[in-house]
Amino acid sequence: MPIVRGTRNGLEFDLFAAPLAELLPEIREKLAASPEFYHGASAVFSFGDAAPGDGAFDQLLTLLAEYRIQGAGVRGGPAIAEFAARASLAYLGPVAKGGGKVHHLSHGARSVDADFAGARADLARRRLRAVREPVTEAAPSPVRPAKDGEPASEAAPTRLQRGTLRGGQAIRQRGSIVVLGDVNPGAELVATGDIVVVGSLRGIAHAGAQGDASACVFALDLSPTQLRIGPHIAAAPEGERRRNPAPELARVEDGRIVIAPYTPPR
Amino acid sequence: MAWHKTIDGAAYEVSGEMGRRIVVTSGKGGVGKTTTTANVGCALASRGHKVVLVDADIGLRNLDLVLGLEKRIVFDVVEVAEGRCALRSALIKDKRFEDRLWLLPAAQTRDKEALDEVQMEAITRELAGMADYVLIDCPAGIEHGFRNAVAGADEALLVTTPEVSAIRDADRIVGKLGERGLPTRLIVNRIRPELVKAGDMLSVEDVCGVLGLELVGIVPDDEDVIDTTNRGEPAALAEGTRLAAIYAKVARRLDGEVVPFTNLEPQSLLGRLWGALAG
Repeated sequence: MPIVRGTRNGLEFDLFAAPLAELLPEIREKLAASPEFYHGASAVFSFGDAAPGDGAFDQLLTLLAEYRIQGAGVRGGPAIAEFAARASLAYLGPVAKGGGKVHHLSHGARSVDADFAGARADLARRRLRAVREPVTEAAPSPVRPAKDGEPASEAAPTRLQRGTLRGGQAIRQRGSIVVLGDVNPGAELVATGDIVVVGSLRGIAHAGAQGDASACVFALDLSPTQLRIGPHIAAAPEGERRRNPAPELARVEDGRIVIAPYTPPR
Repeated sequence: MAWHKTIDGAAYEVSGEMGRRIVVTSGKGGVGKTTTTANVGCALASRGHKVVLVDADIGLRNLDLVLGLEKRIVFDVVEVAEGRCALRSALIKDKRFEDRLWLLPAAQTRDKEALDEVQMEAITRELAGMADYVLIDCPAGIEHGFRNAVAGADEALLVTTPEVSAIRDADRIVGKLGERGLPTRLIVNRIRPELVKAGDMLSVEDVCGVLGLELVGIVPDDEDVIDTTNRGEPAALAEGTRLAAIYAKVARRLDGEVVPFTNLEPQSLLGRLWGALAG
């Protein structure tokens, strides 16, 4: 159970598993792992029914201030509502159940913008070059032609790749890419549109390669070495390996790459 | 300081003094070129030098893994050569060394023909303008990739293991480097003193006897290397270990210091080494 999650609105701290004082070292460690990443975020704290000790909570706020994270509100039972009033933080109601709408950052990727400032500028410049220099190097895509009655696709063509892509292999496509198989470390997918991998994505994927930040990357197991969408770059964090991969979708929200569990549209 | 026009058209301020460009090569594959490049690079950076490591093994990129930087690669040396990005944005900083150790990664999805000697020379020259040392990790073989890697170097560091096949290939390389007039120094890698003592392995002086080069390092076969290589933490970083001390000495010898060799094997080896060195 992760203690810190990134959501659409900022960071969420789940603090009901143990007394706050016991969780502090772990939080400290998480923040220290990627110090710049959290700058400027606002934080929501979720407690169980018991209010935390004031001492421990003050320590938490001091720690967050070091990383320029601001406390925004708390969630929890009735005791927490009183606590919120005392701590002059907004009370946001009881802890949300299920969390279907929650977007979490990582396990697969975490934005490391500061690392890549120069590279991002170069990626952004690609948009300007796009007109002169098409990305396509691939053979004509083996997508079956639209049958009568099916609407003809107006968008750039989609390339369908059957089988696993190994290290050193690359697909560059004006349009989108669908891979039926895995993408191994060292393999590269570059598409001006979206990327869908029906398998494990462990190599590098660059969607929206000519600057389209609205492109997305989907995989049954999204564990890329690196993920790029338009000019944004995210790298997998060190030392995390997932045991039970689930389908995930990566897209850009508020200028950084966010990965969320994939829920099919109804 | 002067303004230097780069191959991608941008201008950087560089100091007039150029760093040393050293190609790390062996001829035979699997003798430890990449591990040596990473470790010597780390040792030089630990001494306060600014170091750029260039992976010239296009298509079989490994140096990034050994350094643990694979996730941070965005652009590579081929994209720099083709003018698709600025040289600066392709360089990856190793945060363990503040701003003293950088990697210019190879392309993984291209092959050796994607670069030529002129491009490689221009890139390493530009790097030498901003660093004290440019170490070029050469691919195995004597073909296109080797010629590219060597074209960007002013000196060579030959890595070999005490095996007849490695030494034969190394000797061929020494000949090739000699034709280009590159001063060449030697690291004997993966030596196992107990085997040498039992007469089952060529000794360092046997190797030196054939190759006749200045010796700058004797690196023992150490299980730690395998482990640290897989974890992306070069052995030279593990302070207080035997390997870290050995690579630190290699760095000092490259700097021109005279440093006695670590006594791997008691008695005469050391004396004979000095003999080999003097000769």
